[in-house]
Amino acid sequence: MKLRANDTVATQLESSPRRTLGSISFDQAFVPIVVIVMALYLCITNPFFFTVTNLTNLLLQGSILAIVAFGITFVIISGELDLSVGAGMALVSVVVALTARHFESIGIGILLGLSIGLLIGLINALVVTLLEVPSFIGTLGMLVIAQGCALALSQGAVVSGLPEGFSSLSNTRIFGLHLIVWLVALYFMVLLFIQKYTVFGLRVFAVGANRRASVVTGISTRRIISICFVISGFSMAFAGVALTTRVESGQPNAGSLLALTAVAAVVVGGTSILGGRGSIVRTLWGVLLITILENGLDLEGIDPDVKRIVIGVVFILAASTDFARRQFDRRKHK
Amino acid sequence: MKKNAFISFAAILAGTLTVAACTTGSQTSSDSSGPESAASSPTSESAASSPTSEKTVAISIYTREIPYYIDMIAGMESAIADRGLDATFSYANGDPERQFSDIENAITQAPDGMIVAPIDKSALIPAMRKAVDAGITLLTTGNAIEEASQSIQLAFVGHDHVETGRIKAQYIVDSLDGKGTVAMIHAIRGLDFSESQATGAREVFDSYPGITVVAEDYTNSFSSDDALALTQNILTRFPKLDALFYDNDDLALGGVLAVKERGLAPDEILLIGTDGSPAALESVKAGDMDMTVLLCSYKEGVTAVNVLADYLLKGIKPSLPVIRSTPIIVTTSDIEKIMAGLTRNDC
Repeated sequence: MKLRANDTVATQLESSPRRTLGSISFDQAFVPIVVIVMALYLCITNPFFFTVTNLTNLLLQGSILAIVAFGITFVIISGELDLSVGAGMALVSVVVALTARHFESIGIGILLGLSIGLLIGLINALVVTLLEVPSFIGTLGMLVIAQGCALALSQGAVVSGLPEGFSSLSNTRIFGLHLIVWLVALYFMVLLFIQKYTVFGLRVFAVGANRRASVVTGISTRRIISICFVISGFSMAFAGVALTTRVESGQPNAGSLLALTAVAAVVVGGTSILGGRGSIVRTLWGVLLITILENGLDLEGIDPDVKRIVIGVVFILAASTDFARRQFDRRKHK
Repeated sequence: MKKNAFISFAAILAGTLTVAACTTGSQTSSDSSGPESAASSPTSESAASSPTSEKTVAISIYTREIPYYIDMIAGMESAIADRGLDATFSYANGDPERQFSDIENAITQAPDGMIVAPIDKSALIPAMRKAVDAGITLLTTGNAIEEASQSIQLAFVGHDHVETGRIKAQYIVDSLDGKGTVAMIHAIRGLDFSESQATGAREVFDSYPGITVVAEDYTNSFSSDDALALTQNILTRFPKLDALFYDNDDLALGGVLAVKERGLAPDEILLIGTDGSPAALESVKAGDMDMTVLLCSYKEGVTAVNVLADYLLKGIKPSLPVIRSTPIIVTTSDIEKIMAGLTRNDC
């Protein structure tokens, strides 16, 4: 049986009655339909939504969430969780800003920031795979450590006075779109390739779907999970650099809800929080859903308290498609 | 197996070193602000002559993630060193339940005095009553507690955030000659600092029929990035907006970027914040922000410790139960004059 690194891999490993990729299943199509319907509704009812300015803003506003959510998708499919991404991003942002200011070099700042993100990912990997600490607790610990470091290094204040280059970097546009949007698109393509066309990508699904079976078949689950955490670490570093560039300052208090929102984007998109099933394409739809929803609610001028309720309801509804799909499958097999 | 154990040990060591490095960084910065502040505070200087007491003080701060409290803590540390007090700090990271527990834990150590910067006006009253019943002298700072319970404390040292909201709103009204559209962007829903400012500002805006508050929303953080996104969306809805009101400077700095991105000239829209952070003061100087309010929380921290120390060491009660901090308003036109010779520590 030839395994392919996509949704169907988990299906084959779990031997559950799911559809193949040849036909688009209900749960695969549900979130894209919701996103398209929501976008169409906003296009019709809100004169500000479908404007170049707003669409540009929308892509910018979703960039950081997308970067982090893409990385965390690998961790979740492998059956683990990474809660440190928000605080890690804040720490990277502070480190980038402080070093760039100190050395008056954007390059050094970005390089050190990326290194810190990778280091966080590596420590997370070691804690989870070698110390066998549950990833929920291990990465929660890292969240607190990163938060403490970010606050200590910045004294709790925004780090400003960065070299001029940051401003030009954030304002660079290619074919009308900001540089960061292109970089996010490129990052998506790279991760999609890794997920669909590499042995590693395939094994992530196998490890998440059935860890014991993976060990029996000779897969080094520790190595696979470690690489997933390192990808997530790189993503938080990338997000930290993007954040620093976007707001032209180091932000110690940023990302307090980012980890949860990123997990929500992944799960709402249709990736199973239990691991073994999902895809980065689904995460992209999850990110679009959250970003368009928040943008739309702002444009509609919804009361802030009601806005929270609406977001919560949409999260639950979108995530419940998994339940609807199981019901559908059961009825079909009866 | 041995290899795994070695790698595990290396991981723990790396983590410990990371934390140690951060802690060292923090301590160094804290130390560097100490002597400067002591020299700039007359109250501290006079107190420095009697550092002989063994009095203990428990200090509970609801968060150290906001510049306002970071400065306040630095002020407290400086005054504690000057007055020879033995103090322990606890930080609740914005969680009321945790601050409640922090206070209860502090009571078990039977300190002579307690300073609480409460998360809101009522959540911690039962814990504070326990402290007072246990014979601990209580002083609150930052956010005031509800009036009915204020008699249990020695004093409150701090701002009236409702008044800060009024001052900021009045500045907008005056600058717009009583006519225009305003958007208010707050930080965290339910936070006294945010809600009180909103109350004061609404009070003023409501009394001017020519002023319309077209949008009011919360970022639910003190992050410039969240404020940038929210401001972008508000400016999309209301491209002709006249003024933007922010709870604090970190949010306002996000607003400055949104305004710049939109291609609006600084004089096309009023933009104001609170705190007087260094970055915001630069922004006010440059004319990107029009006004900010210096809360001088370093000085507030020094005053809070000194009022409590005066009572514990000398039995001197403050003449008033509420000691108000005075905010300093700086605008683009007068910032050079006001800030001349003024440091962040003494305001």
